[in-house]
Amino acid sequence: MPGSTFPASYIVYAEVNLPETKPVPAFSIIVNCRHLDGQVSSVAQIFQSLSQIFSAVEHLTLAHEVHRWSSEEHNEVDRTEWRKLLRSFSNVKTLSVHLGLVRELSRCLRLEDGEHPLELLPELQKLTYSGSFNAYDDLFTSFINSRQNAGRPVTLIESYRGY
Amino acid sequence: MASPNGRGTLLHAIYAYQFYELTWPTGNSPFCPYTTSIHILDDDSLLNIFYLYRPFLLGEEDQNVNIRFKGGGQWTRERWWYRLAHVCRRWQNLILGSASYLGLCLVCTYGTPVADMLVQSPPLPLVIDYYDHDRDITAEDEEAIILALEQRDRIRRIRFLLPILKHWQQKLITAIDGEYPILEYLILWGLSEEKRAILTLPKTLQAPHLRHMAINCSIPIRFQSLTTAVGLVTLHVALYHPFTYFQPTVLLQSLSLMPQLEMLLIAFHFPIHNRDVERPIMTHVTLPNLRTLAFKVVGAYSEAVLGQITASHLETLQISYPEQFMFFVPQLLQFMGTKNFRFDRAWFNFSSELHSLRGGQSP
Repeated sequence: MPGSTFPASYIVYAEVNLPETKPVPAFSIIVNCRHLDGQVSSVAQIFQSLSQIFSAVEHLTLAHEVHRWSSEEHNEVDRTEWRKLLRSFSNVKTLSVHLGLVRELSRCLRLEDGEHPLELLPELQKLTYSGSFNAYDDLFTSFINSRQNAGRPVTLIESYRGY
Repeated sequence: MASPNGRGTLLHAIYAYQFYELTWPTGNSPFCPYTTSIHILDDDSLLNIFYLYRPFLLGEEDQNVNIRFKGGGQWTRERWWYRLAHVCRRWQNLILGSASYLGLCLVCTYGTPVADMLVQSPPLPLVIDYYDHDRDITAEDEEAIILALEQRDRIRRIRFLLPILKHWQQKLITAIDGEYPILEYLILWGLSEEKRAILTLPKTLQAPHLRHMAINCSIPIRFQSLTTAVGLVTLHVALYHPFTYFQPTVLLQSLSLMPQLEMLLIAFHFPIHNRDVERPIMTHVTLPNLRTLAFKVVGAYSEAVLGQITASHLETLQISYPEQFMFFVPQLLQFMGTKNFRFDRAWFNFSSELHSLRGGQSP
């Protein structure tokens, strides 16, 4: 959390910055919450409320750190919460998904009955994900195909960086 | 790059080198056998060099707000002029004769024989700095601190990493008593394991020229005593005991008297319920110079404050919320909406516990 005044362990940290990169982001928010499902739900609510402020954001990165492994089941995030969060960034052109969230995000992006292919991230042009030696090759296939069919193709890039 | 006032890291290095060259005892430095004598410089030139040689100590150039809130780097470097004043009588007279211009002060810190220093040194302002995680305050230091704190008319800065022993913590805090007419910095930082101990600053404490205040322990803030500190530029209030909580109205009333404020942090490191936050009962507060605003509070608190302030030059907003089921942030939206930021990139980092298929073990 570069530049944050409030370090903590179990948190979701979000920062939104201006085009001119500064060491301290213009806006950052932390929600203290132990589990991933609560974290996604929290930032989805907050950023949905603030979506008009972030309508110009073009680059979105989603990272994940496993702070501790537990036996409790809270890492299954409701797909609609992810979609609510992504819907706050309607102008995103590049999306980067780090290891640990690739399955979650691919599940979220996959179309289900009645969903329009451009309902989510309509301006997306490039999707980068942290790979694990082709283990996730097929996860985004349906999303990529649906965008191709809708005439708004998305380039999929597997990266071995960005952990 | 030199900063607007002429000091900067590169310039600093150049002048440091020049000093080494010019003050080499033999007159011939190991770097250059043809070094010109320092004595060809007139007083104005020398004074100008001394002025530019002063170090940055208060985090003026640092973008890290945490460092600035803590008062910057080591204040012991305020001794920069000690050796220069011993080079020769002329330099000593020049430096001490320009004490105010050069911002000279004496430093009281771990191991400083304060009683001797007060007797033997010129009556310069004092900087009291006991802020080192690796050092303990000794019994001699305790006496020295009490003696130093009695020099109220001379104290320019106070910074303490509060000692572990609670009785000594309170004794130290109690000694910060009365009016400190030139005090600019007051930083009281607790050790992490002791931050919940409630301490009390004397009611009589007055510091009309305070510019920077940082409380990071459990001292109930007497905002009444801050009403004279209209020049406050930085205010950091991080509290750890519920007893120290104050309502948004109290904060807003105080902020209305701090038009110079540039950096503000309010953090309550204890549980507060949204329902316990009272709606503010006052009119709007304008903070025309505010650049950095940081909150660690429940949503209702930040909403109550953000709904009542205007900060047209804000550059950085940091908010930390405790876990709560619902977030309702219309005032945050309105506050952000007035900034005309054009955000370009967003970064989320989820740091969480994850379920393991093998019952608590990392796969």
